[in-house]
Amino acid sequence: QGKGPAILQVHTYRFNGHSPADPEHERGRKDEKAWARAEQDPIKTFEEKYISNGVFTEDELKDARKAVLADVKEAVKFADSSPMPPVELAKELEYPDAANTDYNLKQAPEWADEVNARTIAPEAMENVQAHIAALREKAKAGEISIGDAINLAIHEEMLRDPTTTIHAEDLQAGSSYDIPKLTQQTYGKIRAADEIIDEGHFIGKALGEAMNGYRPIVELMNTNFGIYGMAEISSAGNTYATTGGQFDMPMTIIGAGGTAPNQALGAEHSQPFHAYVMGIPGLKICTAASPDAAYGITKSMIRDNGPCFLFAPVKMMKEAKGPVDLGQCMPLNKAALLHEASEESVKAGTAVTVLTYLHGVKEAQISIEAIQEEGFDIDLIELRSLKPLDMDTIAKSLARTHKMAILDESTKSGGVGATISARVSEELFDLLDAPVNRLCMDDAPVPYAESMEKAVVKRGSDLVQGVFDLCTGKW
Amino acid sequence: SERGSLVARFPSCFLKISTMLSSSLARSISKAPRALPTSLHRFFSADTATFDLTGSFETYQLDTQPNNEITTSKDELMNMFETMYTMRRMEITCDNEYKARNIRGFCHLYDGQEAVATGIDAALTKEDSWITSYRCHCVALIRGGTVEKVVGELFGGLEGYSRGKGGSMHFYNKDWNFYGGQGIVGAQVPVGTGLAFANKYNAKPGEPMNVAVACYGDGAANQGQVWEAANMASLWKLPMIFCIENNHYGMGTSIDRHSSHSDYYKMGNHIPGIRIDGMNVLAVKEGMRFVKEYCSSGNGPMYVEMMTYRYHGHSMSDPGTTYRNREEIAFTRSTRDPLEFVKKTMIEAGFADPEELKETEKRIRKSVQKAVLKAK
Repeated sequence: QGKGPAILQVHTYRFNGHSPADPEHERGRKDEKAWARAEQDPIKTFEEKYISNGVFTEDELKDARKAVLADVKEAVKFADSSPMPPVELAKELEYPDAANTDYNLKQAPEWADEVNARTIAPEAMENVQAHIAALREKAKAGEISIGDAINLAIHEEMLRDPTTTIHAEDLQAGSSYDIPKLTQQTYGKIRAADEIIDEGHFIGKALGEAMNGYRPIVELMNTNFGIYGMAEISSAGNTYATTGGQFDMPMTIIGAGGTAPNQALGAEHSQPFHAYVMGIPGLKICTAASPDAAYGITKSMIRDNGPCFLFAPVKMMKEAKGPVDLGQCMPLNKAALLHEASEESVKAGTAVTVLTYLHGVKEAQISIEAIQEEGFDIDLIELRSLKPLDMDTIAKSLARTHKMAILDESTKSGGVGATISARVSEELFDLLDAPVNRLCMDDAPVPYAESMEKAVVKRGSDLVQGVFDLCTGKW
Repeated sequence: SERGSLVARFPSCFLKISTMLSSSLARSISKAPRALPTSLHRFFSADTATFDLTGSFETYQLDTQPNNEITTSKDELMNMFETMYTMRRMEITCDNEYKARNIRGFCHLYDGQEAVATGIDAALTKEDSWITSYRCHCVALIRGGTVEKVVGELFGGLEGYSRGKGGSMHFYNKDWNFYGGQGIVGAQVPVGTGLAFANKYNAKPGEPMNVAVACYGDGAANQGQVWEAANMASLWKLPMIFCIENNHYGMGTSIDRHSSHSDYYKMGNHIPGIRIDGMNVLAVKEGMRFVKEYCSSGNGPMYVEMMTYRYHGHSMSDPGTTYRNREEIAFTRSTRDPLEFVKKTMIEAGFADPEELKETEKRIRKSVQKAVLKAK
């Protein structure tokens, strides 16, 4: 009746321990358990009641018991003689949509227009269409920011599929980077919900929504806050496989994060959450350092039926501007070659494959000139997809250069660079002429003061040195 | 009528301006207990006086309550004023220095809330534990800090409070049992419960325990771990004070839109609570004296809700005016400013005259400036 939630407290009893492994530390429970079995057995109580008031006879219930016992025995026999699942099934159940899905081919629901007409006020629809048109103009002029590009993708997808919802802190005010701008005013307070400062609950809530037929987008104001939702993100990653493929988990998490050089945001706002979630199974994890990547990846992630996480660079949300391939979804398993080393440098052995992502992209781009002046060159690859990793693009470049540096915005222990370095060593060892040069953050809280932070967070100047070291044999 | 009771409790200027307020603040002001501006009761001597605190407290699940009056001395009041004015000037300086890009990253200012930190400190000893959120400059200052060390840290200098490693949200002082300074909203509350646990464990038998105070905002008050901590604090009867600094906004969302129930002092369910007028430093002191006595005697935790207000936005990247109207901010400044209240109190008690206070303000402005220059 719309009166809000209720709390139902049911008094019951469990006869056994918490689980078969529970040694039952609380003494005296033996007597208690005996009493419970004698006085609190719900089946006994049922039988006594409904025999004494004549609804059933003793024999009827005896027969029912017998039948149930037989059923259970059958069930156990069935389970015992069932074949074990094939090893391949685990891989099949990894993602609802394969890693190489082309999201442009996904069909939009046919009833979208009808539902939109019913649920979006004409004035609101006019406003949002004008907003979308304005953003598209900016995109065509090459002047749209990362935050706005994501907002554009979100509106397009929320109109395309009315089961798409969005959650963010300070959502109605546009949060910090305008990612959810105008969503509440268009789609209403429930479909575009203002969340309180409690990531654990609203990520968990999105999980429930996603299992119940909706496609939630969750914006993290800063990905460091995602730490509060670790259990929930983990659960999201496990859902499809653990339910035997019964439940999709079409949740999209988008957050501004990473660690820009000299960002001075304090240790607890500078942690590499992308590194922390890398190990969670079932997640597709991407990064975007430009408006076109942010736009294309957001669209795909919303259409993907599994949990996806997009990281955008916290210090470039409003500053990085560029064009966007309007209407196009980007693949979620591809890296991008942003700059190719010259043939001469490849022949001379002075070319290096550089892998990076988030703020590292800008750092690497502004370092190319300095690198070239030193007489070297780089194949600059933006990883974009952290998981699954695009080993093909990486291999193609490494086959040219035979040397690799990773400008890595995660820590020495357990980071993105560590994972890639290990895989390159395992799968592309013969292509390497030198160990992978991993330019990563120290295992230390990022200091506030610039003088100390320089040593901890690696940047363009470190890349220039790293390329130099690789090419002059200093390793 | 409701309007009639408002007239009895509040000055007439409130009624004229009340229509300009956002509904939430108007509603909460009408609920907020506060002392009348002219609260002087009687003189004891030229140096001490007693002040009326009627209306400053609302209790929940309590048979007792703080005293309705407090006796204080000229020196103490002047001290409080100087501390609060230093805090005010320091925060305003931070605003300027942030805009000049000498302070970078995040910066969450406390101006408007000075009476809360000052009043709490007046009721605690050095041995009590105190932990708060990222809005911590003024607590850092009053808990054994100096303007130079606080601002020095904000400039990222070696002589700063955390030697340049922490920045605005990460101040600590081990000597003074000040545990920060936390970056993540609400994270400090279970930590505070741990501090209370240690205090109980360390207490000498038969003696009152040192308390632990965790300050957090209305925005953090509904987080899961707060309830978890409260449950255990109550179960184990820890000397824990859950202190909600209710400034009516969780970042950019007003309490009406972020809390289904905003009587935070009642949020402990079976845990007793008290709501205090956080703009009256004497009410905060007396209220906290009462709370500390209760919690340090093995009665278990208490929820304390300080009704307060921040003049700045959530942080320096938030103008604070997209979700509040300027009339509300101006109205609070002109009728409930904690500094003005102390000044008025001292003048009415004959402890100081306006000229004297102006001179004090001038002196403090200069000394804050000096400290900042030194920190540079």
